[in-house]
Amino acid sequence: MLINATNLVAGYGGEPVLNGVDIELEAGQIGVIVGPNGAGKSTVLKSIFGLIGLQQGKVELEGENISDVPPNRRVGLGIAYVPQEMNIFQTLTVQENLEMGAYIRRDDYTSAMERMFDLFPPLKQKRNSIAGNLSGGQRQMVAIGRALMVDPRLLLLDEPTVGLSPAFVHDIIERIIAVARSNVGVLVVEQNARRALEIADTGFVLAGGRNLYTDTGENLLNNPAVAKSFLGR
Amino acid sequence: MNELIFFINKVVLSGAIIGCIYALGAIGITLIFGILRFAHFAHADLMTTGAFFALIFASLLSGVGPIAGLPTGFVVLPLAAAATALLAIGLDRMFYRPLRARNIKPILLLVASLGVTLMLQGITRLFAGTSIRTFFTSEKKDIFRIDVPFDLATRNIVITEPQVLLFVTTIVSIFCLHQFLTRTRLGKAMRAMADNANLALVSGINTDTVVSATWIIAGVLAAAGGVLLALDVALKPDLSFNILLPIFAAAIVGGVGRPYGAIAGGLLVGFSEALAVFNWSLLIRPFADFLPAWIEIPTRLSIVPTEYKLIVPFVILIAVLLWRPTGIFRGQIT
Repeated sequence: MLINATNLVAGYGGEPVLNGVDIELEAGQIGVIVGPNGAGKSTVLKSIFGLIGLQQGKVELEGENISDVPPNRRVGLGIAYVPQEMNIFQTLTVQENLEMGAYIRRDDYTSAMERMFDLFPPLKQKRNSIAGNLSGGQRQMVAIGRALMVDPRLLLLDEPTVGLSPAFVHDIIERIIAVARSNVGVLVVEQNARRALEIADTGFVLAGGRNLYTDTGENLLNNPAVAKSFLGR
Repeated sequence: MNELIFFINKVVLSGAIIGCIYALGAIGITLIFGILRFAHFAHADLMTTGAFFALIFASLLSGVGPIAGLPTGFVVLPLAAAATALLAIGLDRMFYRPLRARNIKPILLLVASLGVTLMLQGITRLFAGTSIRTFFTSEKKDIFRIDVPFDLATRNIVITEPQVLLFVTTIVSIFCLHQFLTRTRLGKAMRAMADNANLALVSGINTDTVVSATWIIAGVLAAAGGVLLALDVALKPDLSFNILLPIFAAAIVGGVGRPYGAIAGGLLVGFSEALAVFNWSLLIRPFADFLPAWIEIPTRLSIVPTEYKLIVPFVILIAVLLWRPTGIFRGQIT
């Protein structure tokens, strides 16, 4: 098991937002977290990355308990996180954004950078452009590319398609599948539940800070209760 | 022609000189704001303290200046800069970092820096007294008089050795800073953290290292500004506190958090001050014959009397912020 988070209880002070969430994901698989607003979807990613402390529960990466490791050291362990907003360095160039993603690497990462340009061809010709001047879809590519520069084992994506035009949504989802094929576990929080569950190996439906359903994406799409409550049908 | 030379001496050179001093101070203020998000009021007294460090090193090593053919105060600048950088890091560890660790509001850091500035002023007065000192007790301050190859010109363009050294030091510092920020891993991380501190943390950037680098750079530049100002005029305990407001105006005018903006802002404020206090009647007088007889040219015709020079940075500040609310280089809004 790549990542095994059990009984996560966490919040921002006061009432916890998560009241015992379980997340499991194998390497090379795509896990999708869906649910209504306020269900704690983003909070799950933040607690797996260590940005907020756990009140209860634990996070294991390949069997090793990493609950007490600070977030900047989890990057070194192979977890990369793309926040929903403000997820690029706007005043830096595209290439500098990727270099910052590789900050902790002391080895030669030019091959990783070339791979990013292969994965996101539009970035190659814009490598010396200021990232803040790019289009929304390209900025999202920079954000994901920055995270992938450490060659992570687990990639955490918080609503990567929010605010993008349908063509770019398709593009980003294609790239997420490509990343997972390279044996990276990808855990995605998505607002666009139907679209996301179509590509999910495992779907986690959250509500009120708890797991409501956990199943394969296909089964969840065909589950009438899920469809009625969360897929707007 | 003499009037033009007078203008060059009084406005072009004076403006550039004080502009460079402002720029050296403002870069530090803008970098600290970009990384730590607070207005570091103790920065001017860090400059003064740097100049006092240089005075101490100069008195210990009084022979080195004549050997190098440069003012001793300038030769010991690297030592003074290192001492000031260490002081800056020490101040951060002792006063600012414990406050940051408690996640307090930036305004409290600003108040803490006011405390630090009073403390630095007290310490320098405690050890050095309040008298005016000079680096040129046993050495001579070289003055270059540059002849202007025009028949009508009898005056010279006058520039002193410390002023030449100031220009050279400023240009070299800015070049090195630019190389650091755009070419090195740590420099890029510094820009990244100023841009988006959370994402810097998420990327695994060691923010403590970046903070230390910021204080080192700010301390070195503050020492350079303080020492060169003291070499140009004289060293007194309120040397730089008097220019705190123009330095802040320069940082804000340039765009807070933008080092190149701080340079532009420093020069803009410096030249504006020089232009505002310049006695324009000297430039008009040669044309008196062409003016109607009833116009009398006053003996003093400056935009602002010298005693009120301090209002110039504020006027520039207001004018620039009306035109561009975040500064020339579009700075960060907290």
